[in-house]
Amino acid sequence: MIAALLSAWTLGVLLVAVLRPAGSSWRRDGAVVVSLGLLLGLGVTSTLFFFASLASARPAFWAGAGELVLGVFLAWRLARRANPGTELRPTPAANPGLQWILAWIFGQLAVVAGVVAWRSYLAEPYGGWDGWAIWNLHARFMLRAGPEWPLLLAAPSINWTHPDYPRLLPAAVARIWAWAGNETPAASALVSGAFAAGLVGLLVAVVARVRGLTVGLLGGVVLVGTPFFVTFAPNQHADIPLAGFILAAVGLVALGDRRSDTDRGWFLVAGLCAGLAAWTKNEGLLSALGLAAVVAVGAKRGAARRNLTGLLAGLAIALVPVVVFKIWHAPANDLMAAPFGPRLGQLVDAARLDLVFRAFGRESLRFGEWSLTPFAVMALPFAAWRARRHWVGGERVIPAMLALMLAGYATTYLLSPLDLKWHLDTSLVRLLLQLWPMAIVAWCLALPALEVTGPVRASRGWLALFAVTSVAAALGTTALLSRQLAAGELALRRDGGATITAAWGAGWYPVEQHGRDRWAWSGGRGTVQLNVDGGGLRAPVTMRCRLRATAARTVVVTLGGRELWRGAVAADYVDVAVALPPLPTGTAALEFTTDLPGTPETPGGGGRVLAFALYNVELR
Amino acid sequence: MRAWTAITWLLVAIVGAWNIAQMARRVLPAPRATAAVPANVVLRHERRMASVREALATHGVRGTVGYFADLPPAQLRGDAAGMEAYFLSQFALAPWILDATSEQCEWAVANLQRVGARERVPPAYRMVHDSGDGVLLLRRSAP
Repeated sequence: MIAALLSAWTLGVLLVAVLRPAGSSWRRDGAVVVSLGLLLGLGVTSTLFFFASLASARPAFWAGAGELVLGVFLAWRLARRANPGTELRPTPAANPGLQWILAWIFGQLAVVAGVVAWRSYLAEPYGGWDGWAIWNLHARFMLRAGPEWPLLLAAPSINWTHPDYPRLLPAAVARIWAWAGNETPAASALVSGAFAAGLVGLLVAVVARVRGLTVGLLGGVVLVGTPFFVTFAPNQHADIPLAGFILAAVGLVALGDRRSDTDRGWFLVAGLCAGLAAWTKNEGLLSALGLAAVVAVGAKRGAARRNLTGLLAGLAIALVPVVVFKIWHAPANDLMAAPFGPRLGQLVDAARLDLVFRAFGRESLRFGEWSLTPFAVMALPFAAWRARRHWVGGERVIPAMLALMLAGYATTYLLSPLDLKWHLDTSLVRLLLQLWPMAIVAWCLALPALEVTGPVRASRGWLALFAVTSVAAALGTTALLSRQLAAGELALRRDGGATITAAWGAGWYPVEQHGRDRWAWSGGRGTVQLNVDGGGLRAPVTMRCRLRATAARTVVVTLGGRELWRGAVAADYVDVAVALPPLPTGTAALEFTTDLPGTPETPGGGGRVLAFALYNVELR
Repeated sequence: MRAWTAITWLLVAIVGAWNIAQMARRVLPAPRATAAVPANVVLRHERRMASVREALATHGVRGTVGYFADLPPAQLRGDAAGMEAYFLSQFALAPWILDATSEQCEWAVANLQRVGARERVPPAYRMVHDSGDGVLLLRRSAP
């Protein structure tokens, strides 16, 4: 599985390294090449797998052979090139203090984001609804059905799977399943996570190349600090891969100088990425055609014309699988299948316009699922309005594409034959996420400059303080994350390599919480599940908690029939300390029972029947 | 001006850190105790359908098979839980196509969680394999 990912990545890096413009140094382009290589490698290998799956029942073999041939060819081309390049344009000088601080924050956030993404994966191994019902389902058909998969997927009874959707993501997942020899959900999550990681890396690299690493890291912090992006990263939808290819296409045009013959390589790769965007999701076709149109504006002659030709050539190559699929193997799209003429009137329907614009306005502010919306602080640097940086050259393509894509999405909603509210509710946040990385890059490129004019040296004292603070924060974050309780868990204790957790078992009403107090009522019999893993516990463990009851009664705590605690409990809290016997690895049930039946919560009955409540469980 | 810019950049970073910290509080880790039944509905359904999938392969079934749920097709469309079970079954049993509207397929899968097989399965079908938990493989025995 990892080998399949690494081979795709290597192929992508070779491809970008061969196509990148001559004359620019590896030091300058390295981060762009490596991060873009991950996206492009997954795209190219998935395309090879797609064609192999149409022709053979053993697509992994033929696609692998194709990858090998392409890899050898690219390596040969790269060896022949052997041009280290020189710095053509200076990179803005960095402010080392701020750069270190941002690098530290970015690193910490990336680690925490990785942990959260891992948790999200464990909760939904096959991804969210569209992840399994569309993208992974298509991948299964590609792998399990042999060359007749397009025919099977075109069956009218399963048109709810959107069989017209492009195949980049399913083919990438099916390829890794084929390499791994089984259909582990980890493979599809790996592809999903790789696209997200590549996207973050690309954003930082593209901005760093234009504005310096400090601004690049700031952009990375904004993206990684978007909770929806992080939890969606392992969700196995096609929106983040699409966002990656759109950003790659637009970012490379921004990197290239349209009026110079030296940067044509970037335009060619930009065209490839735009085509792969169309091969990822239908919205990508809009971005690909939009980018070609935006770059074509003013490209009438000379280098600009030749660069446009390069972009169109890359686009044409990458659109081949789209054309093959859409013409010969895909049924009509559900949005396009209905007659188009009668729907034109919807474009000027006041009620629909109102609904669409309100939804765009509302969701733009909250699609990221932020606890604290970042837009106010993102606007702060522009208080020094005159110091803002103007977009120059190819950078202007980014805001133009943002506007064009938003307009395109709004138009699609207006023309939609589906229930408009449902359509907006189920898709708009994902569409906004597709454009969010591009918006962050546009913001980064417009930030006021913070370059320093001369060499800056940080004092050793500050560096030492910074190092100590970083280590302390990293350790603190690790401790907090590792001690965090899962849903339903009450307490956790570590002893050497062993971990013991207490969790609510059967017989408790829903958990209640007020301030730091957390409790649940029982009708008379409830269990607490004790789970030990990672070996036996060395030191004795005591479970501490508080009990209270609706009326005076005796409560008994037993473990496997052995009584561990017995006491009188009434309306006042009773502190309880239960000394647990040595517990082997596995699960054991601690049972709480009482001698008297519970009493109805409401006098007439009909509500809960309450006997005693268990409060604030701790393991010591 | 430079100080203002630096401070505002740091504020942006701090807001990003705050958002991630809050998200980490919301997205809880998986329970340490291994559950006998997976919490995730897709994994649960994969497990329910595993045996019938093997039976379909053993009998050399290809293409489209019928699908019988607790509700008849006309009512199934309006039942969110029933449709989810149908989608999950299709995901588990790909590349066989599950047709929830036809009673003419030679083979059919019944996914019955609330009603008995006799109530929902047409008399023309006989049971070929019982996967347990209401999942059956059926074959049409009469035209």
